[in-house]
Amino acid sequence: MRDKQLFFLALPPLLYLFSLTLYPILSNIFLSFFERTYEGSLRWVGLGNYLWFFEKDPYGPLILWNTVFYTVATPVIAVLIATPVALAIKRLGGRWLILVMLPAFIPPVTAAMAWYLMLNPLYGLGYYLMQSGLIKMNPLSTVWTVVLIDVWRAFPTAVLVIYSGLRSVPQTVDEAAMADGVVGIRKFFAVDLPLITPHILTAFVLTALTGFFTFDPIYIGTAQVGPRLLDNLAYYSFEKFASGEFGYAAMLIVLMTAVGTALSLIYMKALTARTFLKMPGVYRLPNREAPAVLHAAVLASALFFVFTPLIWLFLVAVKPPSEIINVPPAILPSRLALDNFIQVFTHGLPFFLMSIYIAAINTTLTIFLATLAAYPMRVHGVGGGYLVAYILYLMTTPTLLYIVPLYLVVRELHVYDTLFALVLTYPIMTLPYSIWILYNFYANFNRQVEEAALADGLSRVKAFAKAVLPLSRGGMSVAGLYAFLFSWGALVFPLAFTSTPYNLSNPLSFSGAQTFSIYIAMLMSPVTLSYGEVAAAGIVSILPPLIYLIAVRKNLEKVWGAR
Amino acid sequence: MLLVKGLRKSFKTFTLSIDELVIPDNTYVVLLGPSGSGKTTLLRLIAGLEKPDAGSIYIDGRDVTRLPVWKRDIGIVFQNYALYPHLTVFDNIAMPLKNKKMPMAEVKRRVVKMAEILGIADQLEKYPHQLSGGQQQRVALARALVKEPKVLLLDEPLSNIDARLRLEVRGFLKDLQRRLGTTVIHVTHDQEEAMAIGDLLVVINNGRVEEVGPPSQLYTSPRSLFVFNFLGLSNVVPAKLLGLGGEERVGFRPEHVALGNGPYVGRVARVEYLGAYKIVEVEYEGQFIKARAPPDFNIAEGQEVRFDVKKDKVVKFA
Repeated sequence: MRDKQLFFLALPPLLYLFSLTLYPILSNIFLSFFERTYEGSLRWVGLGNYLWFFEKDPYGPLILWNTVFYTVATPVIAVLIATPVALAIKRLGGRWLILVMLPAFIPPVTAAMAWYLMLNPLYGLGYYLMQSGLIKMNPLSTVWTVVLIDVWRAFPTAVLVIYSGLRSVPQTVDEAAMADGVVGIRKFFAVDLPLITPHILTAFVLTALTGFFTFDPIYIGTAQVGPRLLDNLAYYSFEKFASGEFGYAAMLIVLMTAVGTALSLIYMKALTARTFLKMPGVYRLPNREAPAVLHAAVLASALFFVFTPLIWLFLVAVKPPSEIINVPPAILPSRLALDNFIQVFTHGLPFFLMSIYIAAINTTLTIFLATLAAYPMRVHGVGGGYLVAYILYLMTTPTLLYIVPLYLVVRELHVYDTLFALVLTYPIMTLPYSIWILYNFYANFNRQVEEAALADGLSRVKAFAKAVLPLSRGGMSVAGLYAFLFSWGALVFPLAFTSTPYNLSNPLSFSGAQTFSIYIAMLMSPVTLSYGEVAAAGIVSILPPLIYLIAVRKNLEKVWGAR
Repeated sequence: MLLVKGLRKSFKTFTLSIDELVIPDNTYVVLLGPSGSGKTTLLRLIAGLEKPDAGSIYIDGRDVTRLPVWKRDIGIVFQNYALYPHLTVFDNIAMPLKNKKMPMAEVKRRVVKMAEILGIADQLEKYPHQLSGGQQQRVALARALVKEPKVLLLDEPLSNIDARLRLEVRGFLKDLQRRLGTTVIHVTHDQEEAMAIGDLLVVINNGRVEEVGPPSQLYTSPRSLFVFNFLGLSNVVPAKLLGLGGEERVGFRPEHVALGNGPYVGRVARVEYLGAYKIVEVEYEGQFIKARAPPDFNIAEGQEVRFDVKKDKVVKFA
């Protein structure tokens, strides 16, 4: 009966995950056949929503086109950039990986905001880009800016995946190639590329998913240039949700769920693919070891790309307010000014506190639940391959898909716009990823530790608590990093489930639950537009995940295989 | 001829240091040593997979020290074979030739010829994962030999082979070397394998060459005590114990100890039955001496026994 105890260990997280993901997925389908009337009741319209979108909606074609564009352009560019960068890191040492990975640890809304600040054609570097003729169109109003931000956020993940692929090529195969005289670019195409095909494919699908579900850059961008120009399905469905058209939003979400599921299935196939991409004519490529200088140049360019918007963000944040809105913009501040940070401290405090609360609570909760699920799944095969596949599926599809049904649930429970709404919903966003990290962590776990504890007479649950948990700290800290990062930087859930800032005059009610991401997004809106304050807020938003990242850096690099 | 001169390579806790090593042509050379002795490092230095801190390597009088692996006229077979998993057997073997842009017809002729020599001509369309371990090794051998290298380097080639097949592969490797007339350098830690297959043994210990010579010479009359102990069961005692005078120590093999008769009287401490023979350990004046006896030799632990040592087989060590 011991194995039953294990099943009970995994039960709470799995029950939570299944009820709060399966119900919304099914509920979306149901809702998509209804229309919300003016009075708020639902009216059956059959396929009406679908037909309207494809036949009548004036924005339909544009939105479909933008969605396809983001979904294709992002992975193509990200993988093309990531591959040479991964090669450079393999040559120059895994310690560079963490610097290139930095964009993945910056809240997405901050990343989008930093790019829009930098590209601003009047007050940002965009001014000089347009003056010099390097770019012709206004960078704020083009879909390319959205792709640029997506690539910036996503290419580090592609680098990581491709780098781990390159590392998985046995050293002796590298040496055999050397003995056969296959080196440099020819070796890459003749040996490496075929062997890392699954990794390239994985990187491609993961970045395509980022592109397909792009939300934050459009949210920030729309505030700069006005509605509908940059919209994709994800953003449009959110707009429809926000304006109360639940049936229409659900219909758009069902469409996205279908495409997202397809991409996710391709991703799972890619993970275990046994295909080799073979290029014809590789023996005509040059056969010379690329000089280390070239690799260093590639890495330097990648770091330039990574750091430029962050440096600009910092420069704006420390500018005296009078120097921020100057044409032409000054690049360096005349003096270091803290005015912007003081403003953030006075205006942003309730948002900051709420984000810290929810990030701390949800990280703790997620680590706990993820460990309970991951250990039995990996070491005892609880749930089998289907459960693993479902976790992977949840990991690759965003939480945007659940907002309509969950909003209705949150409202039913009378927790709308409170901390409790966030605590209830955030694990949906963080649990799958953390389970996946721990699931892989336990792959190399020495199971005999648990068996020794059982032999010493401990029950399964006690053995887990006394023998397994203390040895899981490395994996738990990394799972926690991602949980913290997602909780800290979340935008969609707080947008959907909150409407006012944390009410500090009655702090123990924990009501009013807008988070720091919302504060940043609000500062970018045309009404409150304040570039200095938003830049300072951006810097503040980067710090907590960065501190966490530095604290668990060693464990993280082990998970990445960079040391 | 392969010549290694003044070669030094340091790692954190270990230094390989070879003053001079000469490897004649058309010879099966075995680099033998305990694990961590530096034998694989020496192989990798000869291959060019590691760069030496000092010293030179010459192949046929040509200084190859600064040449990359593929310009050294060597072939390597890795311990795990390191076949390209994405290529067929044919393409694996053809890789070094195609890489030199050899005409396709010539590539084909050479690959097929080499595959026939190695007995894998019927496997050319398969992928490595469809082959047995032994077949994979033959593919790796073919890939290394198809370039017709001057020197073939084998890193622990028998360690991934089933114990049953090891004898067979051992014979095959030796035959292959005889047929092709290349120089083979074979790394192993197994002294029995080394003696069985090598024309010349290079015993390495602690980063240095301990002794070089044909197996029979190193087994019967080595200069190095380490080599004497490493190459088989051995007895090493002070010379005085056997009445041979001097302060030095002497070594002799168990098979050179005759039980039942002789000037010495000891007590049987232990008897090990090994099938073809017995090893009897005799305690004599505080020393334990191993003797080899026929399997039906009747003796019990604790019993007294007379024995003799064949004085002409005794090796003296300083």
